[in-house]
Amino acid sequence: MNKRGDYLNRVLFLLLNNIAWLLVAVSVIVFSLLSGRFLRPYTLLGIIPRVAPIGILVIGQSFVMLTKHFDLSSESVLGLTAFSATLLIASPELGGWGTMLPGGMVIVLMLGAGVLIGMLNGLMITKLKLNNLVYTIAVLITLRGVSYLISPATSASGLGDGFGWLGGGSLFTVMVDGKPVRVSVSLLFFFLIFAAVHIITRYTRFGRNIYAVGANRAAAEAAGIRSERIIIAVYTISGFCAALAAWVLAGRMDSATMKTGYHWIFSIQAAAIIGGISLKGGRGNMIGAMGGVILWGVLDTGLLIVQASPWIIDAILGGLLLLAILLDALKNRYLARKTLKEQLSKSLVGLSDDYLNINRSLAQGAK
Amino acid sequence: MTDRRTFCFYAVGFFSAMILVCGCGKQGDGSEKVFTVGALHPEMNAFHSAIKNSVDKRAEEKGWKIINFSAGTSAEKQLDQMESLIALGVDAILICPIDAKSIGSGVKKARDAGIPVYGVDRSTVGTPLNMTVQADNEMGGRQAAVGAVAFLKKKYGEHKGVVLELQGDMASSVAQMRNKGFNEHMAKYPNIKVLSKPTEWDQDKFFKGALDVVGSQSVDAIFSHTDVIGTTPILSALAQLGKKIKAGQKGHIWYGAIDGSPTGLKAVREGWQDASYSQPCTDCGIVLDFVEKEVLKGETIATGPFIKEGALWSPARIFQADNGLMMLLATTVVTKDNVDDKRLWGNQ
Repeated sequence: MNKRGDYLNRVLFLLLNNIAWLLVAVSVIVFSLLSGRFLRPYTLLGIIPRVAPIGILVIGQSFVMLTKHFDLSSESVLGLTAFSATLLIASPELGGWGTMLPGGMVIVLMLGAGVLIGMLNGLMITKLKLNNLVYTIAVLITLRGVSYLISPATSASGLGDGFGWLGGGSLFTVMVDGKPVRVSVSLLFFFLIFAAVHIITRYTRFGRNIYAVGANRAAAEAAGIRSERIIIAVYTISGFCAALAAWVLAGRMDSATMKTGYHWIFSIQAAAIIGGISLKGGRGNMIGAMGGVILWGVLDTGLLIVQASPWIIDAILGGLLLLAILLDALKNRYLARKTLKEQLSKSLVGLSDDYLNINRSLAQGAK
Repeated sequence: MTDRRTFCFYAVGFFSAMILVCGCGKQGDGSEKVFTVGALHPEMNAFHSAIKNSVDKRAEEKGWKIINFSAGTSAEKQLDQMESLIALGVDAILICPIDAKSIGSGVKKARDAGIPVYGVDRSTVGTPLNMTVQADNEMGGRQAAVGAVAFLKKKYGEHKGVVLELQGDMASSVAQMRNKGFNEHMAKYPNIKVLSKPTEWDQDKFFKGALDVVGSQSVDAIFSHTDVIGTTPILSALAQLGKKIKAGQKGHIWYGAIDGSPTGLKAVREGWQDASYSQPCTDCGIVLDFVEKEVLKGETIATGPFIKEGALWSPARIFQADNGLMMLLATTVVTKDNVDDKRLWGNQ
């Protein structure tokens, strides 16, 4: 009985850990059955470029969340860097400041600004011991305000092919039913960047240290990990990712406004959590987070293709976030119980207590 | 190790499911081909709902199918919706852009896919459309300026005073045109000071703008870019300041707004609002006549005056603008004298 219960628990845990990919598969099947338009190349190839900027923000957010912190300012960092970059490049007729700087220089400036803002966030949170949630909300509001301040009360566009290549460029175009279907640069970039961060988090000492700090900061420090440095680093990465996402987004839209990225933080959080990045820190991985982003993209695209009511779309996407935090809580409960069982069984080897649901084989396994 | 095994398990499962679905999923809609138009609305307030209803009604008369999307004022979402309409293979797209410039990349994608794009109520900047049908927003701004100037002349015996302009979202073409029409006329009167506040079509910002400016200095007149969104918060702000006074009474602040919405007309009727500049939004469905002419019949749309007997917006004018053909429908000055006219959309 105990053995079976434990097996079921493990299966349940595996499902919970990979829920995003499971839901991606289910959504694809459902949307395909509901509309013949969903599985067409134009639709499928459009899903990733659509969520690529959100995906990059989710990467930054995941790094921060793995250390048991939050960065709610990332949508405003994206908004400010995208809008100021656009104002620097665009001609005055198309809303720019008139500086008309070359795209390459602006890319360096915006990525640099993202890194600086992120690093400052990390320093403020670690050195001044500010509450990361409230502090990043303050930055979120402040930077959005700055976007409004620098705005000449309109949007700006006309970024040029060079700047727009990453977000709006095509690798190649294929003809389907006599119509051109573009394979976007951002599609390839999305997978490359997720592969890179997966390697960093999984196979490097820095990655392991991030998990260690998130799981138990005191223990990590006792083991010689300088947790403050790790936290500053993850906020810096988050700032960099926000600026990178801004580059992709502005390129895709060939423009930006003072409201660019407004209210994205909910999608970012939802995609990260449904992707398995735990609110409690130290748990989750980038492949799962990628699943969360793709799920977001599939739902967003599929619900439009099947012409669902806007209210249903909001309800489903909101429900998804709710589901994500419920699953996270479930997982945490399961893990806490599992740890407790293992600890108890280690100290009670030889006993079989039905009340504690412990048996000898589990105790052996725990060793 | 377990993670990798699980990932492989799901990857295999996922691709098997994909193959299964590819095999048995719907291949096209199957039904008889109906001319389908996609419509991208910026949001669903009373004004844009009136436009949607007008387009829906016209499409129904023609036996066409309409797919409506609303982007909740997000320019990024509107671009996503444009891509979805392309994926759905619609025959034409109607758009009321949230941002006149940002939608450009989406319009280009639609045109690459061979789908004509028409503007309704608002147009684009920098990217040509097949045609735009919209109210003459400059005319509306100008009519408001004429009304405010006449009030100031009557109040002071000369052209002087302070006017607050509560702007819409200056990223939208209509706000830019209303601003242009209003300020070009005002520029003729150097002793009239115009204070402009952007609101981004946000109710809270209309309230705060009116409260802050009217509360801190002497303001003689208020021009709002919209009465759908602006009238209620502006009148609330005036009430809070003790300055909500009916037209004709001492201390009254002249108030005029564009739209001619039910809210605006009610305020005109009750004397809180001096004038509303009504847009012909319930006639915006006329754009489908031009879609039919150009796309289905392959005919060219002629430029010049466009007259429709009995229509408040007539005579309209069609001309070649920088961003394609433009049809401007006249706006109507609504005061207490004609506020009950059944042809006004706010009364329908």
